[in-house]
Amino acid sequence: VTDYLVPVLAAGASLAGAVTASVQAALGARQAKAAREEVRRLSEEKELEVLGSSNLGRLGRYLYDDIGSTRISNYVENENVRDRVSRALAGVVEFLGTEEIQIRPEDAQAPSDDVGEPVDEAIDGLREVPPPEQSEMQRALSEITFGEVWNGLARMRRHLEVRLRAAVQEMLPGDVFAAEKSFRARSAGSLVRILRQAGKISSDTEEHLRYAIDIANAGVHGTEVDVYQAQSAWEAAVRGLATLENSYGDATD
Amino acid sequence: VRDVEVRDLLELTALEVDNPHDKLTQLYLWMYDYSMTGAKALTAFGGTLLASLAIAVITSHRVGWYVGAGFLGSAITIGVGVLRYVRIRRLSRQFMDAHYLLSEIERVRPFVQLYRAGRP
Repeated sequence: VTDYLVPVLAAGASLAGAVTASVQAALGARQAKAAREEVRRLSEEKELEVLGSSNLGRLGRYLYDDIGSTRISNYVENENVRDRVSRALAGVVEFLGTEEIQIRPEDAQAPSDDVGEPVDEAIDGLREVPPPEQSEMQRALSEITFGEVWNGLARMRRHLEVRLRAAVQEMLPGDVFAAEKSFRARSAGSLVRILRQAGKISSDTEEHLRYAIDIANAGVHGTEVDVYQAQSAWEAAVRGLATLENSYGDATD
Repeated sequence: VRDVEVRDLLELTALEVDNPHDKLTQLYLWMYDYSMTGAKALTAFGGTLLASLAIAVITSHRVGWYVGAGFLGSAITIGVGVLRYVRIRRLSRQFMDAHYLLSEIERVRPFVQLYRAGRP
């Protein structure tokens, strides 16, 4: 037996060494491949595309499938993965709710005007405009009315943000605007506040826009918002934007 | 042991698990124990092979190229065990970052829950 003991032990030890080294190398290669995949999946273009689509289903898939499949070990060890995940997650969190206080729809104060008829007219009008030619607000109303309240509110809020940013750029004097260094990161609610504090919009306009933004924030953040409430927010947004356009015109004349 | 993914943190958030940070801590404690046991077992296995081979060579006076390969194999096994042992230190950073990411995800808990329920 002792004649064979050394060769057998040597063969066993060699095999064990080869197996452990191979397994370790394979695990390392798999980890590196996974990190490369994660960096590729979380491209900036895809993030912009998803956040710009105003489609909460796509946003959810992006959160679950693309950000979600990132390994924490790669997040810790790979600088690229860490940067991409941090940026993507911050983008999603900011998109879903940048307001410091999340307001429930029942807490949001409706503007005093009656709502209903103008919305009905706009819904009737939707039938005359084919979807590709609809404006962003018409698409938002269409989504709200025909079963995609979440997406409609997200689209409406996105549109309000774009218009409010443009208004802040145009209406505020350079020195005031320069002081708002981080305005691009500001939410729609903050932009309304800036315009109101600078005396560029009336309290009525502020009230309409604030109501629309509060309802949209609550809905996008995941709170239950019924169709009627979403439609009243849409109408408030339309009214707020109309008066904002007038103020805008006055400021640029 | 399978790596923790961001999706696991989303699930912890969506399922309204009681105190998810505690559960995450428990998960990492379990991973630590599992990884530590594996690293120690591998190192001990390599050490045992090395000692057995050394004793067998000394008592039998048999030497050949295969003995060198055996020592090398044992050394590699021990080395991988030690490497795994050293890498376990990284778990503490993973632990901290996983808690940070969980806190970030909790900020959008209602959305995550509704998405998971198939609402959008």
